[in-house]
Amino acid sequence: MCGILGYISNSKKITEETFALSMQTMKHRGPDANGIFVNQNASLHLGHLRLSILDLSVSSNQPFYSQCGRYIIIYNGELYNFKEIKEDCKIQTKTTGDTEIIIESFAQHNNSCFSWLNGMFAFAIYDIQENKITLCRDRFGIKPLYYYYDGDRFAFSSELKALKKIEGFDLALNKMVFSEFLHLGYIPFPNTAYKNIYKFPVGAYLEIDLNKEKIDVPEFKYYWKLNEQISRHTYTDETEVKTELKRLLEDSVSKQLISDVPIGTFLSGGIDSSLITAIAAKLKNNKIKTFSIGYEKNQYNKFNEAHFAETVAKQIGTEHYSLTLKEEDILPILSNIISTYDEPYADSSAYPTMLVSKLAREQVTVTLSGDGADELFMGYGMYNWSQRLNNPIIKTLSPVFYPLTKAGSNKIKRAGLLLKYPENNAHLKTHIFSQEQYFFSEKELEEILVEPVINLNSLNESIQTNRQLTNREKQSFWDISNYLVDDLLVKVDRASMLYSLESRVPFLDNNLVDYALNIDDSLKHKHGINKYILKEVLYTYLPKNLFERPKWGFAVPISKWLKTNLYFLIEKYLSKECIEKYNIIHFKAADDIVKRFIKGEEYLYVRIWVMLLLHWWLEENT
Amino acid sequence: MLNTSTNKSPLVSVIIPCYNGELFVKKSILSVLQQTHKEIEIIVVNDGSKDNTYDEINSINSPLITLINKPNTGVSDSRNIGLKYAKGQYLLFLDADDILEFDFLEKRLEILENNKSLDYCTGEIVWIDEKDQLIAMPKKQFGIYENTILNVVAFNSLFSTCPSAYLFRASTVKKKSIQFNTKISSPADRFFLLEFGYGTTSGFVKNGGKLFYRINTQSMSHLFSKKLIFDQENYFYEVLKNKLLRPQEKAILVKKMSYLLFASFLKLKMYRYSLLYLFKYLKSFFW
Repeated sequence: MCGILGYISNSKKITEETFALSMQTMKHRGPDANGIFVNQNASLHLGHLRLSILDLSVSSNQPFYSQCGRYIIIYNGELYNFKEIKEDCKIQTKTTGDTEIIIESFAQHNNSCFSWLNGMFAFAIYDIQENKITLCRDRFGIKPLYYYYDGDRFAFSSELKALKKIEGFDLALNKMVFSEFLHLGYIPFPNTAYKNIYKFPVGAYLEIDLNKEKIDVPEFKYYWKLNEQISRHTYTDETEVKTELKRLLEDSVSKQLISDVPIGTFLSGGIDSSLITAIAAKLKNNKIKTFSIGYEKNQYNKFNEAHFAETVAKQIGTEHYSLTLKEEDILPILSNIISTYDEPYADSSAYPTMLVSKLAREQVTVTLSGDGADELFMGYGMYNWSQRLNNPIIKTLSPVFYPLTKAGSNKIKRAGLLLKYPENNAHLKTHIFSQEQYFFSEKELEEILVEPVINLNSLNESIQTNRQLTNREKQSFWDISNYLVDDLLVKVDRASMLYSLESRVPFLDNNLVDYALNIDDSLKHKHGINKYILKEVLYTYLPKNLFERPKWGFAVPISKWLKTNLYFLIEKYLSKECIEKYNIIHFKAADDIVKRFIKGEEYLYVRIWVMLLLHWWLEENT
Repeated sequence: MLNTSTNKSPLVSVIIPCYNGELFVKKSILSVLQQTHKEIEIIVVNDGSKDNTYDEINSINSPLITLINKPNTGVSDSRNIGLKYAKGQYLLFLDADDILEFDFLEKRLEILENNKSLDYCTGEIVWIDEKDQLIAMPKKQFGIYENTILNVVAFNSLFSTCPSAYLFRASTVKKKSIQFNTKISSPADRFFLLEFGYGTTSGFVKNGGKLFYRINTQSMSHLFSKKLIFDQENYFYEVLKNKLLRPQEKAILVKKMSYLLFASFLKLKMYRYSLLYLFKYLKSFFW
C-alpha cells in the first residue's frame, strides 16, 4: 500500500528535487522504497512510495515497466483477483505481485481491463509511445486520489498534502464548500478546500494527452456506475440469499487474506467486524490477530466497548490485543485531525481509528475492517427516518408537530429538527444525513452563514435505476456514493496509513457489492431489525446472544470534553476575533449555539465541533 | 512474393467469442480457415473459459488467428472487444459452436462486392446436433434479409437472428458506431440488428453458403431459467429506452414481449410480474 504522485506540464516544468520534496510529505504511506520516473522532455514526473505487502522483492519496486517496455505504472492499491486475471489473460509474469498484472492487462486490453479489477486502487499508466497518461481509481474510492488542474499544469496525488507542497501552485481557498462542510462534516466530491484541487471521481478513468501544449479540461469516463448495477428484480428468497451471501463473504475474505506479511482484523465486537473476524479465523489455520480499543469505565461511560470485543475474540479464539484508553490519551493526537486529513474533516471517530491502527501496526502490516456493511445492509437508523419522512401524512403534519417539539426534552428537540423539512423537498437525502449526524441543517445554515449560499442540488440528484427504489434504498445508496466515499473510507485510509498500516475492506468486494445492492429491502430490514440478513449470516458462525445489545460505535465523548478538557478550543477558535477574521459565520449565531450547549442542549456539540474545526483548520492553513 | 490476385479481394474479420467452448471451437475455426475466400483474419476472444478452450485454439497453427484472453464478462462484451481488433472491410460474428459451409464467405462477398449499397448479407441456416449430424427442421430457416426490424420484433419463425448467419459491411457498423449491448446476452443479436436499424438493406444467398447452426442441449438459449427471462426483459426495456423503433414496430414489440414475459413469469411463479405483463399485453390491443 503506497503513495503516488504525478506532475504534468509542458509549459511550467519543475525539477526532480522539487518533486522529490513534495513526495516526502507522504513518506508514511510508503516507507519501504521510493522511485521517480521523468520522461524525455521532463513534461512528466511520476513518483512512488512503497509499502511492501505482496512480493517483497525489489523487482516489484515502482515505477514499474511493462514487459514490452511501452508502459510504465505507479500504483497504490491491492488487487485481490490478480491470480484469476493472470490465468484468464494468460499473462507470463516476472514477479509474483499484482502491479505487473495490472500493467500487463492494460498492455493487452487497454481501458477495457478496468472493470475486471477487484480491489482497491489508484494508479497512473504512462504510454511512452503515444506520450499519453491514463489515471484510474477504484469503484468506491477505497484508495484516495486528488488532482490539481489549472490549464497549464495537472498533478495528482494520494494525499492533498503532497499537492499543497508543489511550488507555484495556486492554493486559493474554495470558500463555497465550507457551507457544505458545516452541513455534512466533510467536503463532498468533487471539491476540496482548494479551488484548483479536486477529488478524482470513483469508478472512473481519465486520459491526458501530453503532446498538447495546454492540458485539456479533464473529461472522465466511467467503467463502473452504481446505478447501472441496480437490477430490475431483487433477491427475495431468504434461504437462498443467506447461502449466497455467506458464500460471497467467505470468497471475499479469503481473497483479501492473501498477503506476504502478517495480517489481522479490527474487532469492535459489533456485527460487521465480528463477522469478518469469524470468517477470517475459519479460513486461516493459524490464529488470527485481532485489535480493539475502548475507554475506561467511568461516570460518563457505562460500558467499555473493549469488553464486547474481548468476549467475541474469546469465542472465536483469536490472539486478541486491546488497549484501554483514558480520555487524556486522545489529547496528544488531537491536532492530527487537522494535519492528517489536509482539509476540514469532522468525523471524530478518526481518533480511535488512528489509535487502533497504531496498536495493530505493532503486530501486523495489514488489517481487515468491517466498513461498508452499514451502508450496504442498512445498519443506520436514518434509513427508517427516510421511510418516515417520505410518508405523506408525516409530511403534511410536520408543520404542526415541529413547534411542539421545541418545548420537549433534548431527544424530542432533536427529532423535531428532523421534522423541519428543508423548503425544497428535493434536499431530503442530505437533510436526513445531516440531522442524523447532528450537523447544521440547511435552514440553520441560512441563519448562521454570512453569505448563505449553499448548493445541495447536485448532491441530492436522484439516480436513474432499473427498478423503483424504496426510500430506505435511496438513502442507503446515497450513503454508499457519498458518505462512504468521502468520509468513512477517507477516515480509514488516512488513519491507518499514518502508521503505515494497510487496511482492507472485504464488504466492498466487487461481487459482494453487486449482489448486496440487489438484495430486497425487506431482507435488509425485517421485523424492525436493521441489517437483518447480515445478522442471520453472522449467527451461523457465532451465538446470537453475544450480540443482543444496542449498536455501539467507536464513540468519542466530544460532548463532555468540549465542556472540560477541550473548552480551550472553543475559546480559541470560536472567539469573536477568530470568527470575524474569516467571516464565514456570524459570531452572534455561533456564540448563541455555544451558550445553549453549555446550558444543557447536549446535541449541539457536533455543531460546535464542526464550527471550531473549520476555524482551527483555517488558522493552520492560511 | 506478392500475390496480386488476392490483393483486391477484401479482408473479412471473423470474430469468435468463446466461453467454455472446448468441444466445438476448433471445428468452428477450421470451417473458417477452409473457406474458399482466403483473405481472412480470425479474432478469437476467449472469455475466461475454465475448460480446455485455450489449448484447443492453440493447437491450430495458423498466422491468421489472433487469440485474445480475458476474464469472463459475457458474450456481448467479448464481441465488442473483438470488434476493436478487427481490421477487415467485412465483419462476421461467429458463435463458437457454429460451422460455415466452405463457400459461406465467397457467396456473401460476391453479392456485397457487386452491390456496395447493401449493408449486410445473409443466407440459409441448417441445424446440426452435437455430432455434426443434420437435424430435421420443421421448415427452412434463413437470416433476415427483408423488413429486418419488423421480422426481428415479430419473432418471425422463418428467420433466425443468430449473428453467425450475417456478414456485415464494416463501414456501416462503424458509421453507426454500433456495439453489442452489454446489458443483454442472449437477445443481444436481436438488439444488434435493431440498432442496425431502418434504411439498411440486405443481400441474400440463394444457393450454398449455408450456416450450420448447432442446436445443443446445453446451449443457453434453450434453457428456461430466471436468468434467461430477466435477459429477455432487459432486451425489451433496452429497445424501448434506446428508442430504436418507430411506433408501428414498437407496438408489435410491446405486444409480443408482454405476452412472452407474462407467460414466462407465470411459469416462474412470479405472479406479480406475470400480471403486470398481462396488463401490458391487454393494453396493447387498445393502442
